[in-house]
Amino acid sequence: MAWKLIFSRMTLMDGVIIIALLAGIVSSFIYMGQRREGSRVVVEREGKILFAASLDQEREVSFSGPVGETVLIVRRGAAFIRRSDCRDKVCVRMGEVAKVGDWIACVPNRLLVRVEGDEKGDKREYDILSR
Amino acid sequence: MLPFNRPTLIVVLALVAVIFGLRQWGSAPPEEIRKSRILMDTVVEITVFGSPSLPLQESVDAAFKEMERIEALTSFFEEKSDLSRLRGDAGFEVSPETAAIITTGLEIAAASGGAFDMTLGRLKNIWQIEGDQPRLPQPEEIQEALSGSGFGALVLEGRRLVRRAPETRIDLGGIAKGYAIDCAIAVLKKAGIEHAAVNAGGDIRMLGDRRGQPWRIAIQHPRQPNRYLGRLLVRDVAVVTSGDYERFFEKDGIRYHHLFDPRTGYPATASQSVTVLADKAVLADALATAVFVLGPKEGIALLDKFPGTEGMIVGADGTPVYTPGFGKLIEWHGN
Repeated sequence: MAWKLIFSRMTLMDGVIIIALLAGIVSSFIYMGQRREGSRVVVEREGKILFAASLDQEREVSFSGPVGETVLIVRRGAAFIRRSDCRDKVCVRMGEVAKVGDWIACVPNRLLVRVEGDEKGDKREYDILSR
Repeated sequence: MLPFNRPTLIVVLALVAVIFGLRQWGSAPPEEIRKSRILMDTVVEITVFGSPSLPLQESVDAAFKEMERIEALTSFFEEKSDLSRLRGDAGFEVSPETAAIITTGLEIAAASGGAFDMTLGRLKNIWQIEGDQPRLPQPEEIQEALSGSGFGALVLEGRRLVRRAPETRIDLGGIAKGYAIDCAIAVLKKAGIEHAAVNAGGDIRMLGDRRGQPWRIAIQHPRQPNRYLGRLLVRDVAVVTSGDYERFFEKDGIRYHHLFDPRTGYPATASQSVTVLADKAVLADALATAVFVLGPKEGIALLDKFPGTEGMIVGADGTPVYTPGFGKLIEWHGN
């Protein structure tokens, strides 16, 4: 058997190198699959931001749209749609979002709720001061 | 014969590791260019993000040049500007740019019942608040300086600008900066740039977002210089703040600032500061001045006349009043 032949010829160092490479590949997969906890929720309609708030602040906000009201709740570091006048309630069933890149969409009401995070190492509180 | 030998196996694994490494860290981050210049009596900062393949440096320089061009056209003091020509003539044809500014200005003047006024040149001249030696003029001086000003004192017939009275002196201070910001953004957009901000002394317009994140715009606290009221998370919008703390002097405990009420000739007293959001900086700039003069109640009513605009007025007592849309975009500082 070819595999048996390979293993019989391997030295200890071969094993170390192969294990190190495999460990690197596996940890890359794990790292890429991880997503950071979000810091804020942003609600958009047709590319325009309608609402943005920290995920730490408890909020209940209502958005009117083509099919009626959609109510967003921000609570304990997560956001979810509590109620929507749309027909299928897909957005309500999508549950909570809390990680960077998570989103909820209410297509009939044209709302996109996204979770965002701060850039790594960015300690500034704002980019520009309007004065 | 083996399907592969030992070095081949190691090379294949190493290649796979390198590919993953490149995927994770290898994507070149967009370049950021940030440049500042003094223009239009303020510091103008332009920030752009984009692929290094884009002409970022050249585009920023071209945007500054465009702002310089607009400043030259609209300044009263530039020899060849449209406005300096108006010193002598009762009417003449202005550049398309000046005509565009005056068209927006007249629209805001009409909608605000004259709270926005581009004919206060003589009034501003006697107060000298933006000059080296500001002074409190006598009431009769103020009345005299108001003659030839007001809604209807200026008429634009196509591109022909006509003054109703020979003493009318135009001042585009409350609107030209916003227009110049819009022109700078147009230059950047034309160059293929999708993420940028032009900040002229706190009057800002953003193009796109900040590398996938909203721009975080802090709003100056009108009475505490080192604090901000809150933070807007926005993109693709203009944010302009006007306040009585920007340029002022105090005499006998009274603050005299640079935002005049055209009805009285004295600095407006209804607001401490106003922040307006609009698609274009020219609109936000003019509306911020008009809303400041009108104060909280009438100011919000004026914003309601312009769909797509949002705003906040910090009234004379320090209480903030804002449109529902503005309330949804702001994170209050300290909350």
